[in-house]
Amino acid sequence: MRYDVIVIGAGPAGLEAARAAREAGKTVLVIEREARAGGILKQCVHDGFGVIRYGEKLTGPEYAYRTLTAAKAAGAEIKTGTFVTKISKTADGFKVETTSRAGMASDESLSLILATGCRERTPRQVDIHGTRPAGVLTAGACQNFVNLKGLLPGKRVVILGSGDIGLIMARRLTLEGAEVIGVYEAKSTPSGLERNLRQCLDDFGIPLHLKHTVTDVYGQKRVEAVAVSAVDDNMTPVGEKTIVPCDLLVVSVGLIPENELHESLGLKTAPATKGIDVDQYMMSADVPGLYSVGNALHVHDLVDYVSESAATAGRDVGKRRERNLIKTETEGLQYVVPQYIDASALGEKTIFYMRSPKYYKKAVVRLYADGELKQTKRVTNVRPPEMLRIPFSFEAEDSVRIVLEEDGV
Amino acid sequence: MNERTLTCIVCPNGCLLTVDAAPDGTLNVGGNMCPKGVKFARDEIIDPVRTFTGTAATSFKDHPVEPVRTSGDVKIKEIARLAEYVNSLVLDRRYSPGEVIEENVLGTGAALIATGDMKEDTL
Repeated sequence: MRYDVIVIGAGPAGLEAARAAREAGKTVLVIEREARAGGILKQCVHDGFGVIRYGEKLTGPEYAYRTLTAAKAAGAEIKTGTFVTKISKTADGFKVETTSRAGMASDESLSLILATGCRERTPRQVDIHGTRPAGVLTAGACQNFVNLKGLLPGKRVVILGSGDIGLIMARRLTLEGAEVIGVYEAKSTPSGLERNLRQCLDDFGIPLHLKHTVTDVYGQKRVEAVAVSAVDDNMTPVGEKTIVPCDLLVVSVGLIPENELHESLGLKTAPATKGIDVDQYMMSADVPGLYSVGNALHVHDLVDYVSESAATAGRDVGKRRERNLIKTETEGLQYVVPQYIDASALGEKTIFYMRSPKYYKKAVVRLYADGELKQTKRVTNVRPPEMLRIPFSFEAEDSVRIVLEEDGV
Repeated sequence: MNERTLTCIVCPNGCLLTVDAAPDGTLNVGGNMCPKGVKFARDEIIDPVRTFTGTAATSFKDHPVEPVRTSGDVKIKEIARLAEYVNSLVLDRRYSPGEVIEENVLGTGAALIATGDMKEDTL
């Protein structure tokens, strides 16, 4: 079949992009490899989703259900249990080849939206080596076992890394009757949101050991213990190792955008975001008609902003033929999305999503266009784990620059 | 004056709140971006509340557990009891998100509601 747009991935990003494109009158196909749409939200049974978008504190499954219901009501065609085997460029668009129980299929579209989400960094990526006993899991895999399959993968748990999913699982495992001995974080500051430190660890008296890491895993068939050690500023273990008996090691050490599909189209992975470079409508700077949304583009801290930017992409499908792209220059930032601005299509507001490399009690974000200071926005309690979302209104012809610095210097 | 700092957990803004307890017992809250922060800080000092979330087992093979939550906040000291109770349940009918499983669960004043869609077709 031929569609205006094919969306790969039926998580919150893909479903919302599909809804917006459908409401703009486009024909839409959403392809999902899992049996059910909704993405990872299905296993995020905790609440806190949708406060910004809906003004309500929803759980992940509820947020997914709302998004899915809206996409279906808009008339998006959703194929679940369908795996993309290949995507390629055609003369005027894209070809997507899939396999499912119905067999192999090939569909074409003018635009393509990649909404494939992200993956977890694995224990091997943080130098945990040795035998492979049962009982070493990423936080997301642990969440899947507990929240979707109803299984408890361990009773005495050590958590490595203070990412949000690890913190959420510390609480979840405690409520399911496991004993969480502690959370160990090699950095000197926690990776997760402040609110999760409070409600997932403090509420249950679970200790957080900063500047500590797991150096060894013991056990042949099953994890029997781990060794933990303090680390110095270069994250090199120093001092005595402490042996902590446990039967489960949960690793929560960060997320990386899924980038296999865009790399298959010859697109480079941007080092800062691990996604692709896009303009303010999430369209690839390199391949017109290709969009990347949600955690496939850059890892978000809040799903509300995933929905927002995915809808921006969905509405844009098929609208622009010519672009005048300007690179977004930055100073004092870890990264900014969009990395490019289509100066010929600047709307009333352009929303920038950015991350700070360090902590600021008070900071200021300045936007310069064509060398002139256009807007200033003050921000407080800036933390690297928390994304900054700043809407700017401006016109630009040949340069855009965003600067983050401490306020009052 | 007795000052405490708290991180508001009502929304993802995570405001850093300061709470001053005057000698007469009144609490002055600062650092909040919205009125919810004031209520949060007062509850947090006097009797903290949370929404309980978890999963309940079901009798359906294609959907072995159903995510659930309380319809509103419950006292933090009720959370452990709620977790134990929910872990003892086996749901034998299919729920949709928002459907009430049990009103006034364990006398907390909040209902236990389903949050996952068990009626959706799977492959």
